Amino acid sequence: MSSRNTSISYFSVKSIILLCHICLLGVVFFNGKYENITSVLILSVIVIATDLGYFLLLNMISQKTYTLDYLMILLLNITVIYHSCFGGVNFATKHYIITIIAFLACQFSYKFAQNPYKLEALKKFYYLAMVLIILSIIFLTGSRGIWIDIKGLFTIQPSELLKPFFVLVCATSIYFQQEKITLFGFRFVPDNVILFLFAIIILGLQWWSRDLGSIPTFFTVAFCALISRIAYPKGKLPKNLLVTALILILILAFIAIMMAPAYVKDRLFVDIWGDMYGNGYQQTRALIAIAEGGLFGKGPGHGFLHNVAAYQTDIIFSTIAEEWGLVSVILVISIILIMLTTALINNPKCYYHSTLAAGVVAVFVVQMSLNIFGSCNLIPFTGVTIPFISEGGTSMLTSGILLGFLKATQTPVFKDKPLNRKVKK
Amino acid sequence: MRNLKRNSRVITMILSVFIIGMVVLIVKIYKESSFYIVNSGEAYLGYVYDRKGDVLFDQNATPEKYDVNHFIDVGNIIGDESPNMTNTLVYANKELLNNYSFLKGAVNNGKSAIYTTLNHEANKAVYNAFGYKNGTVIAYNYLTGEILVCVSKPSVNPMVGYENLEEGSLLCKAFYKYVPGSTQKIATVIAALENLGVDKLYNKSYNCSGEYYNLNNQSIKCHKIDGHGVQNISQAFANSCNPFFAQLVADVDLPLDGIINSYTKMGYAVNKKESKKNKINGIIYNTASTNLKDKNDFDTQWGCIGQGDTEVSPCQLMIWQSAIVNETGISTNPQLISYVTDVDGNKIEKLQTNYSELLFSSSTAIETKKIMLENGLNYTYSIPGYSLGIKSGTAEIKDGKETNSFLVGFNNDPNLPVAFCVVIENKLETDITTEYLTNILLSSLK
Amino acid sequence: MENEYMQLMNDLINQLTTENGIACMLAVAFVDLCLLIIILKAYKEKRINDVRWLHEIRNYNIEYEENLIPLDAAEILIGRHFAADIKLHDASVSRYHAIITFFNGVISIKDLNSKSGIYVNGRKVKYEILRGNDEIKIGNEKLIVRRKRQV
Repeated sequence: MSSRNTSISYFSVKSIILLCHICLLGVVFFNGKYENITSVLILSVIVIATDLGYFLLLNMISQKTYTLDYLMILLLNITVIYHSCFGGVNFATKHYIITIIAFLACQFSYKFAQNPYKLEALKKFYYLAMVLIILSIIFLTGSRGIWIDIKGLFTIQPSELLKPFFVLVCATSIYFQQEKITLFGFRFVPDNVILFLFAIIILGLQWWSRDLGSIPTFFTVAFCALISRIAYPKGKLPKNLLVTALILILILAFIAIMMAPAYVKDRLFVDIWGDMYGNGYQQTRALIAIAEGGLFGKGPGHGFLHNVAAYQTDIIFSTIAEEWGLVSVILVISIILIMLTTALINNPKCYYHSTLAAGVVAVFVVQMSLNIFGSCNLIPFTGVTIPFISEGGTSMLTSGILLGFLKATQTPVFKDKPLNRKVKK
Repeated sequence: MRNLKRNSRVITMILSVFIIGMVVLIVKIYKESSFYIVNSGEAYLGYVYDRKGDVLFDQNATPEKYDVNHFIDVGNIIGDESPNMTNTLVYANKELLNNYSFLKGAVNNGKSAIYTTLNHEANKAVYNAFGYKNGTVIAYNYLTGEILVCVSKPSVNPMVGYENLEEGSLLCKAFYKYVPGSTQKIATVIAALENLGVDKLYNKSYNCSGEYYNLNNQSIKCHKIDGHGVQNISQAFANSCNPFFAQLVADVDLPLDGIINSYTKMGYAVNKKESKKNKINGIIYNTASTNLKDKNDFDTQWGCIGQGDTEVSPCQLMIWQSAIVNETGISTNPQLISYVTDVDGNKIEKLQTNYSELLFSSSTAIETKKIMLENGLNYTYSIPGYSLGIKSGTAEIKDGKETNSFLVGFNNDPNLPVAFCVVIENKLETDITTEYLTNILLSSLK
Repeated sequence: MENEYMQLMNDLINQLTTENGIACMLAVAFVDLCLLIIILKAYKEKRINDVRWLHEIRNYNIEYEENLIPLDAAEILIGRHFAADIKLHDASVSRYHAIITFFNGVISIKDLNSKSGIYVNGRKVKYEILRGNDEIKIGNEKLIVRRKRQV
């Protein structure tokens, strides 16, 4: 085989990313609300320096795919600029540090997830990790809250950390699906049953700890897992199983909503305009902010939404729309969408990675939908974060890890030595 | 291969659902953005003008810009944006006045405005003519439907505020029901004409001796103690003779079902719990209701004469006049908005005259018009200079402790095509008269 | 309708010509350009990846009934089931008959507990590493491993 010149020059990409950031900084400079021009200068210097730092880092690591990395750099620094401007130009230190952690986490998880066989062989460890996290949720956070407070410095949200492991567990290879065992006269894949049990446990846990926003996320990932597995069992049983399972789930959901405690019902069925200063406060103010922002926003720093609770997490969509305009926020959302479509452009070659990609896409899209549509009152309001855009340490970390998985699915490596997968002769 | 493709399809589906959701969201925000701004309490609302450009509503009205009583006569019909009076023009049409478009954002000097049909000068003249009395006057152009005058006293002055108000200040009483008194006889004449026809009705004559005992031996007294003697319908109408009308209702040729039918076609809710409500540019007004059970019964007969359970709004009384004077039996729908300008000043939503369904036949209308015009001849001294069709009325309320005085009618002149209803509450001997108010009304509208 | 449209365009242009509008439009344009370029790079990467994949599987194809089926995935299912990648319709073929895996640099075929088993070059095997021109018999069907010459 002749070796080809397989290097692509990313110079144009790097320069355009720099230009984008400079342009946004220019908007901040001309239109922003700031007391001292030094704050704008500090922001600009740090953003551009970080850009160059990321580029240098990427140059040193040799990978086979860089598109997701560059998209990530573009997005992360845009969010740093946005977060630094809410209510007045400042520097959002916490968010900045978290973005760097997310970027590094992405690189690590990419290296980790490249070999699909190795990934699959480690499934037992994922289950173990999930059990540990579930135990920590039960004992450390209790049924009232979802965060663990560490020495008052920062908080961890363990249920977010469940997501990467759950996605890894939901992915499967065709080969794995063919390894059935017979028990009580049923032929089934043990992995599927354990997965099913775990899914139920996790959904129950979310219900118990009142973290209603994560339930649709896990449910959708589990559903994707189900779809990726139903083609393989022998016999007609699975199709009926699927239908009965769906009906059961719908009935369960209906009963759950009807029997839900008042706290849940309050959040689910709210007439926000009738209760503008009570239950509907956040959503009405969010909608008003979007309307006031118009197409191009009021200008960085000129918004008022930073006085409303959860402006950086749950209603971040409107906060950005108010200061930067509807056009900008849609653009940012489309950056995430383009990230996800690279999985369509560059198809993974093995089934495990392909189902992994589907799981990652499901997590991202469901979280975005819940957040955006909920804050705009198309669906009931839940407290979920938009990946990468909302502020939140664990959320950012998880999103970085998941993006690393997505990156890995584009360039799988098949030649590594596996850990302990035995080939039955 | 196939399986990989299936996963790609799953991903595509998830992404498409999300994109569709986003499109729905953007469309929703674009369409509803004006509503959000209006509810934010920070909207720049435009002005409301009368037909000559006089300001009837200004969000930033101060006593420096306007005379202190400038808005008091339109306070409870034009209103303002506060939720104190939700049945007013401004509150019901806040979005029309909102100087906002999604592409522009909130415009400081936008030109959103409502130009009403009201004649502020005439309105103020009528309001001031009330003096210390309370009541309501509503008048409109029966050819086009433009409401020219709408006064309800007591009223509220938006510049002063909403404290220590007299009861009833926040309602425009022209849109709420009153016991109509003898003005009810117009509806009874129409019902009789519809069911008997002109000739048969004119052949009916009854005697009034001051008191009439119906078949249930209940007494219906006339306001003239000696009675009017024998009259036909036109004379009885002019005399406002109660025994005549009681006997007419009791007459076997006039079935109760026929009366109920005619009343219902005119818009009454007969023997029902709730009466219909209609809207004028977002403002709700009541129509009419009554209970008619037995044509030989005291209550039913009084219901057709002007007391009993009958209730009609002055607005509805006025609307019927247009069906009579136009000789068609079809009334012209009243409207308050002449045209609206959007935030750029372009005219949108221009008034278009529209009509109701057939309330009664045109021959009935012609005959009723003749009867009312004949009665109008009795007013050439008190309201000189016009060819009017008139019916007056006096309604007893609060068990006879108070009386409200009514005057309903039309000006039969296409150069001043006004239909009106004037109500003075708690009228005493020494007070102003409804004829006086009508004079002021018509002369200021000339 | 047309009037409304003209109004909309007017409003849009008015918005755009403010300072804020121009700066924002510029930023939006750059981000769009960036996304476009990145998508193009993604396609380039895809092409390179495809070439690399072909290299890794040494350009093996499966010839079946005069058709050359390229090995596009790391696991290829052979059988009668509708989800199989290589569908064989003969009744002697089980629903899930065999799977060709690319694993650790080795292309091999494995029998999935089928009724009739698989025969590579005449020998009945449960697992066999494949080489060029190998003949695989699955039930009554015959598959040949071909190596496509690179042009």
